[in-house]
Amino acid sequence: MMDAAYFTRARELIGESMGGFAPELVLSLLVIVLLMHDLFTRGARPERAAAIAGIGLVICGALLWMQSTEPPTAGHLEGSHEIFGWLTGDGNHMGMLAIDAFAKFFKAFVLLGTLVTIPMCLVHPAFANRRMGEFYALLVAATLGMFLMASATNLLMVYMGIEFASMASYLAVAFVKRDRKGSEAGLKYVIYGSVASGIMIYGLSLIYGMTGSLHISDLANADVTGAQGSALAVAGVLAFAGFAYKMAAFPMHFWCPDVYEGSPVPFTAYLSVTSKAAGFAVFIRFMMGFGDGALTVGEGDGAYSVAFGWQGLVAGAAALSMTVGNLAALWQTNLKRLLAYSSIAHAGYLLMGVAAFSEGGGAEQYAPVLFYFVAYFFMNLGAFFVVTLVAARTGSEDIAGYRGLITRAPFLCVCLVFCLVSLLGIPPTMGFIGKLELFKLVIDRGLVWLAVVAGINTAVSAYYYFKIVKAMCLDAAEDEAPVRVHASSMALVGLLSLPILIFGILPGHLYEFTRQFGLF
Amino acid sequence: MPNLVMLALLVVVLPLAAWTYGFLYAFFNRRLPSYQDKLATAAISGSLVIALYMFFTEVLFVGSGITNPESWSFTWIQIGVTGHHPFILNLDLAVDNITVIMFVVVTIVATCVHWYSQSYMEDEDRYSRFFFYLGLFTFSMLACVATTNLLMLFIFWELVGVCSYFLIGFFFLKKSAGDASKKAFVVNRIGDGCFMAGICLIYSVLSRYWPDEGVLSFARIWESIALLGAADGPWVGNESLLTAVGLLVFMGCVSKSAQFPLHIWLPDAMEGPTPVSALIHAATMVVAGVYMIVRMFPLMAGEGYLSGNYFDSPVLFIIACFGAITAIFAGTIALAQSDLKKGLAYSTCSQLGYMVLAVGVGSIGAAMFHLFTHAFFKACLFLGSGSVIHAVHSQEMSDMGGLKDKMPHTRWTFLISCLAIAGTPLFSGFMSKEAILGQAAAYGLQVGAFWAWFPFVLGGITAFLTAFYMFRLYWLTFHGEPGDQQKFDHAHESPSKMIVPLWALAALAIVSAGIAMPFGAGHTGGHWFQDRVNDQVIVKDYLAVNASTAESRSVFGDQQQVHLVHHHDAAAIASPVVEEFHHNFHSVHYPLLGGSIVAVIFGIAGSFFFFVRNRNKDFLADIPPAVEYRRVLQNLYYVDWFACERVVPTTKDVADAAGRFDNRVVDGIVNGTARFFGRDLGWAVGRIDNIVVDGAVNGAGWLMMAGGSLFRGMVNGRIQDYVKFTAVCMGVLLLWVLAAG
Repeated sequence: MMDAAYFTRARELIGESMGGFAPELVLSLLVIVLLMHDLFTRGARPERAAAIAGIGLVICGALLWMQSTEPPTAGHLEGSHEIFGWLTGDGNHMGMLAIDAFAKFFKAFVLLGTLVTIPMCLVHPAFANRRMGEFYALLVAATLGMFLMASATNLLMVYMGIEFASMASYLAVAFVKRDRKGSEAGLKYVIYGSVASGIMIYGLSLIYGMTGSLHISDLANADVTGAQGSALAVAGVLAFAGFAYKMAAFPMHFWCPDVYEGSPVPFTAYLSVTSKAAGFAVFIRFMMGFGDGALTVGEGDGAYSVAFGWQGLVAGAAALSMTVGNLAALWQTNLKRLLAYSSIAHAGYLLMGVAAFSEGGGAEQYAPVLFYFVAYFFMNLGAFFVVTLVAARTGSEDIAGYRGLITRAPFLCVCLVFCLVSLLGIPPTMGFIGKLELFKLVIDRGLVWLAVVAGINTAVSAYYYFKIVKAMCLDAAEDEAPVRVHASSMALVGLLSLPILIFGILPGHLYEFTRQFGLF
Repeated sequence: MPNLVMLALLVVVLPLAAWTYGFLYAFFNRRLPSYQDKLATAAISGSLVIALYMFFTEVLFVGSGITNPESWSFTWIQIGVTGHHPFILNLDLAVDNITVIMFVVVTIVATCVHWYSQSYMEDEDRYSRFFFYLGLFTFSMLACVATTNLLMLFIFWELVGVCSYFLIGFFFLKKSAGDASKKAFVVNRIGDGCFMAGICLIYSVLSRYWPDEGVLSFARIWESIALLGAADGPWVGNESLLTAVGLLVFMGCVSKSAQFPLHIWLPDAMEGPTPVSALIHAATMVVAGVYMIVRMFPLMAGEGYLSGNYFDSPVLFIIACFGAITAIFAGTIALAQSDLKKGLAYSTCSQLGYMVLAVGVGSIGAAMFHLFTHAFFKACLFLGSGSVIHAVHSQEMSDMGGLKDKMPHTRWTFLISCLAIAGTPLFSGFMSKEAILGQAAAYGLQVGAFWAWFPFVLGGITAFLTAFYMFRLYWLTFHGEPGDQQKFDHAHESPSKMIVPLWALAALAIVSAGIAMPFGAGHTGGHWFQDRVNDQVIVKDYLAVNASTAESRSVFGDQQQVHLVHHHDAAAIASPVVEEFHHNFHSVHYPLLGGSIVAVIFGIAGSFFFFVRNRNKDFLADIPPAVEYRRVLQNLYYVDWFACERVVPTTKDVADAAGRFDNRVVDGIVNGTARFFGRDLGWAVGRIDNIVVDGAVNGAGWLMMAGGSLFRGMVNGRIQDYVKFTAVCMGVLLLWVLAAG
């Protein structure tokens, strides 16, 4: 078996895979360059580090842009999207990473999120006059982990990707030394992440035990012996915990408020958008690997079918996520904490869409979730950017500090209102269109109760989003001094909030665009 | 995108560009640019040039104008997946004869008003803001007539309504102006609500038939009517719903075009600046309702549309009655108005009634024709009245009189427009009014029943009244002795910026019907318009070009042939009903011509006798039997009184009663129940009692906050607890999955 020909072929496979891995290679190189930058630089040069990180990310983006997602028609991995693969007995190609449109969407999403985070780091006061190469290295490493999550097709790679992204994030959260809140948040993140990771690997090992396969697309048609419905349910819930931790969804949302509050604002913004997206990407791929959830046990006459209701699990988690997130948000006065709970609630809305996926639903069923992610990108990053800027100038992350912002910084205030209105989901914003699409998808698939729960939740969330709007626009400012920010920051905030309006009024082309990125 | 559509888009976008510039400027500078007036005027003048270019090269000198309309459409919103009944909204633009003609009307009047206002509004506060609103209005109005999609039409319809609200209340420091703008807004909500309901019904019916496309385009709505002949058409089996939809959509027209009984907002709208009255409340926005029912004519005509027999349609007859009643109703009120602008406002109502009447008796050509001619002479009358008001600083006719030599330009243009609106031969109003009355009389002959003469009789009387009351305004303003010597002494002719637009509009009041001008190649006189705007040209040619489904093409094919033949050669009409109607139309033509000339002569002569010979400013007061009637007229037939003193308070009473019912009965039951249990079940239920008494809203809010408090409490900062709670939560989830799966 393990003869010379085998090794030759394996070498060829790896060689061919490197082409598909080029963006990730650039990121790996970038991590090293950024670390080196700090070693060989005298004094703090945060701008230069940021420039290096930015250029590296742009190169990575260019490679990603050019990457073909069409499966090769000739060669060893003929007809397969996957790289780093091997040939199985029956001639199937199995790989570690999928190079397909779905992965490309989430990679681009994470990459753009990282790019937007860099200017936020530049205006963050705690990052001023620091050696920032190390931080950017951690940021890029987390991005690399998320790239792996977006394409992982093997349970081991799934776990590796999640851990890779998490490890870098732990360090970045606690990056500001001697900051009590940050250190505490970092420590909590590590402990909670370890627990989640442990639970998940336990669930994954149970699944492996029952299906005998580590490859995601093989899970549904694995040669199963001795699987039982309830055991599969336990394994499913345990594995789901690991994904839910990345998505910041119920039941693994507890870390979210503390970590969001304690970590530097730019990194909070980064986490809330990219980490969630990567979590969804890896979970959707994993869940769809189970097909309709029915596993055939045994062979021939004695075969029987074991079903596991992924839809029920995801729908339940979705309903509870949005309810927990929204209700807890009602009490928050710290804007970062409030947005943390809001992001838990949004994980719920997105999971609602995921719950409506079905095996035969076609590539188009993913469009509402992908569209909502695009909306979430703009509105959440926009909101966090304004929070970063205001916190940098006034030192306050409390709602009270936002009173009368409309007179102190009218432009920032208007942009933040757009973001909040969109997060709430009222027209004419992208958030509204996105929610409308999610609702339509869910109702079409017969999950009316879930749509009702989401509707009530949306109504409840109006309270806390408008609490901020009210403070900014109706309450009198305690300090009338204008909040001055640099024009380039204003431009970026504008660039983040303008699409909310444009695609809220003309969503057609974007919707068509997202439809290309479904999972096949 | 086709060429003509690009041009149309340019016409629409230019005023928007000026407005957007002002908006952005104001956003960054906290005030509008001082040159907003120049900017807006330049933009609308550009639109005018393009619109005229389209008009002359595509419509006027080209056979029957655009017989092959260009259209452009794109999906605005699509929710859901093709094949799974997605929710689709489209945007559609098309350029046909009506679009171009409406462009011409709107841009000409708007350009005149822009120039005129630069002088008229000169000394007012918020001068720039006036042009800012004017730009937004012009854009919305142009967009409203450029779109061929009912939903888009509705959106811009609302937008012009909002602009109207802003501009009526432009002098918002004056209480009456604020009240008038609120009244206009509220009254329009009634009609718009019905209109919206009609649109929703159309969508729900049509989207079942064409599940994968935006069904609110005009083409689809027209086609759905054409499919009434097919076995499985969208409305087949829903014919009564079709009638209801027709009426609901028509209600939108009733409020927008100030038809009885929702006309009450229009006279009050005269609180706005006079140029606004000319542009919005005479020439353009108020005719949007007529324009809309012209576009929706097949929907109103229903089944009769296929055969060309419009005369059985109950909806159309109701429309005709609304129009006829409004025409005579407002015409009589105008007799007793002492305010110059209000007199003109009621005359607008009355003329709008004519247009609606024309649609009702089955002639969209006549309706559009009158819309076209009326826009120019009515705008001229309003701008002329503005010129007078500018000179004497009063709107009351008792302060005017004898101004003919002091303001010669204003006087002559006003006189020309009066002659036009009265329907004097050789003026444009004569041709268009003649067309409407001829159609109405033919309608009576065709149907034969006595009630079918109702629209014609009322319309005929109104023709006489129009001549009478319009000349009353003219005599009282420009002839006789000065009412107020001091004001008279200070009066002077307006500057040229106001005079030039007046003359432009007065010229159009003569030539716009095609008389005295070599309009149209191969067509003579007043026919130039109706050969280009009628349902054959507009609806059927459009459908012939755009019919997409083979099925509807075949259903429609035969009818199509019939109508195209009819259109090009009147002798070859296949449908006996249409033939009969044409015969009737020709048989009433000459008697009617004579009759209306007599009516005009009597009207003008009568008002001359009353107001010049006898200098009777207190018309009807010295004729004993008429005194009572005069009081009724001065009280506007008590419609406003009824609305403001009865309907509004009753609505308030009902609301109060509902509130009291809610307070006493509903809360009583709730409280009583709660007390009962509270007494029996002690403290635990007492807590619930508190929540219930606090009311459902507070209770729900409390529940939410309590739930939030619970979830917030779980995130207490202690990582040990987080892990514990996570375990509990996962247990909950596992139970859920096991129970569900």
